[in-house]
Amino acid sequence: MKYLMYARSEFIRGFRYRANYWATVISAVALAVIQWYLWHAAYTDKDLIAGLSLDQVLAYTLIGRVAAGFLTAPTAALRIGSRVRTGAIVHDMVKPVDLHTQLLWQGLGRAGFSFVATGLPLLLAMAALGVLEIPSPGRLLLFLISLLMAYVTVFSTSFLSGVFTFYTKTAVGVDYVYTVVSLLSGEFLPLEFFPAWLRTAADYLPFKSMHYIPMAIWSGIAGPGEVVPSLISQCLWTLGMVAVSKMAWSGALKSLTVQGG
Amino acid sequence: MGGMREPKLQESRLSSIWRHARLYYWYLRANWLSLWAYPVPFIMMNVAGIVYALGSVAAVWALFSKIHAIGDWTLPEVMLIYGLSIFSRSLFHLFWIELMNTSAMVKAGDIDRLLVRPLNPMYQLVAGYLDNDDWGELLTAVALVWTSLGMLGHRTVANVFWCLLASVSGSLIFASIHAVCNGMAFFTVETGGFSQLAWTTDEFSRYPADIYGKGVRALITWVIPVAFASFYPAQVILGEGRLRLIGLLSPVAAILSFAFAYWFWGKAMDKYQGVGN
Repeated sequence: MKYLMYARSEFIRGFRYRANYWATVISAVALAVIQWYLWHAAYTDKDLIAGLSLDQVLAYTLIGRVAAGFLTAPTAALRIGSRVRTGAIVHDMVKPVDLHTQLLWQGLGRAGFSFVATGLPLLLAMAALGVLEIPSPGRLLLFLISLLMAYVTVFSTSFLSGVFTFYTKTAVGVDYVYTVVSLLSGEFLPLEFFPAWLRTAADYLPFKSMHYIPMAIWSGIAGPGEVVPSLISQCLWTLGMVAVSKMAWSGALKSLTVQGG
Repeated sequence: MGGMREPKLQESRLSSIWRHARLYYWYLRANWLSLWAYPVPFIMMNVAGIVYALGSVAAVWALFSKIHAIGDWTLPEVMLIYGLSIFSRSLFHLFWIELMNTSAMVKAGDIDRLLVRPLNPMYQLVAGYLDNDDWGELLTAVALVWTSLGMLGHRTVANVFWCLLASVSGSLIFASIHAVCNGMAFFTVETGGFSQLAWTTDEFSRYPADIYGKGVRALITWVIPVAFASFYPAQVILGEGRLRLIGLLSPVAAILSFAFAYWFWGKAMDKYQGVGN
């Protein structure tokens, strides 16, 4: 399948930068260390905060650090705005592939590299040290499915942001306020910590599919009865985001003006 | 090419420093005016920047909606430390960002341009550009520090001035870390990873340094001294005794770390070979 080749070549591309590699690993470890100490300090004189135990929150945030590279927004790599500005978009359009699908698979290759190269070693190290417990095979499988859908939502958000700049012709897109997306996705802390009104808002938005759902499945924050419903809602959001991306993209193509030639 | 050697002008060190300082005004002026060449995108970008900074502050706020303290630190205390951290970081980001360009300049052979001019090379690199996209974070930081001082009942003129001094000195600490990481470009050419690592270190300065274990705390005090960018200076306002004394020494720590970084950058630049033509 031709799109798989895109993913493969991006995956292999990751291996080019070796000095970068170690620095990335150290960064990932450092961020995990910060989370570990921060949550221990927050739980100094408490057993439960917002109904969650220290172990649950640690599992949630540490597996979040493991997945962080995999779920990094590919905003810069998409370069939709600059493809339009420079006119390079023309070359994308003459190829017998769908640009949206191509970028999705390329991004998956990059994300996959990041997961194998930094996420997995971090996960194994933490599991070996007993800091992070690996869940039962069933939950692990559901986590992986959920993580893949999370990637598609992350990608779609960046893609839609890119298409948005296509219409507005400004550089300011979602990536300029990405911390808000991260906050609402649960990347900074589990949604349970939010005040009620913010929690409600987060529940109605697609962003929790980007982080909260897979991490809640891994950490057991999502109880046995909640796993399947949250996977279904994540699945619906994922399909919805892909559909909206495709529609926005074909709409944008119709109004495309390439400057110069 | 010799590293950071000054050209052989008949000039004392003091008058050379004075000349650099006077010129810095003109650099700043030109840079500031060029930021306003396209005012609408500039303002939009930085309003978005405020939202961006508030997005991460909101995580701390949400946490404190459920707990009363992180370790021994209450919300206004954590806000002050967090505020000083992003204050220092944004000052570094705005005024020193071109350090990140070292690798690209080594690749393109552009360091030649710095070496033939009668000004200090690192100075030319840094003074030549003022960043456009972090003014929102700076405003957020000022608001955080101001509000937290008020909540603590410590909003005195002396404390406000101390926070300003501490942030400038904190920005010097971040500049030192980035100067060393990006100075690696003269040895390894590609520094993307080192540079990213330098950006990660500031995460350690966002929360009270005493929540970390002994090893990490020693690391961020003595090796990568980011604790002097936020936690220790905050102790001048919050703490007492020995901790407060260490806090007062933050500017000294900043100057020492920058002296080391400057020396390292100069040594590294001696390795520069140009790219031929």
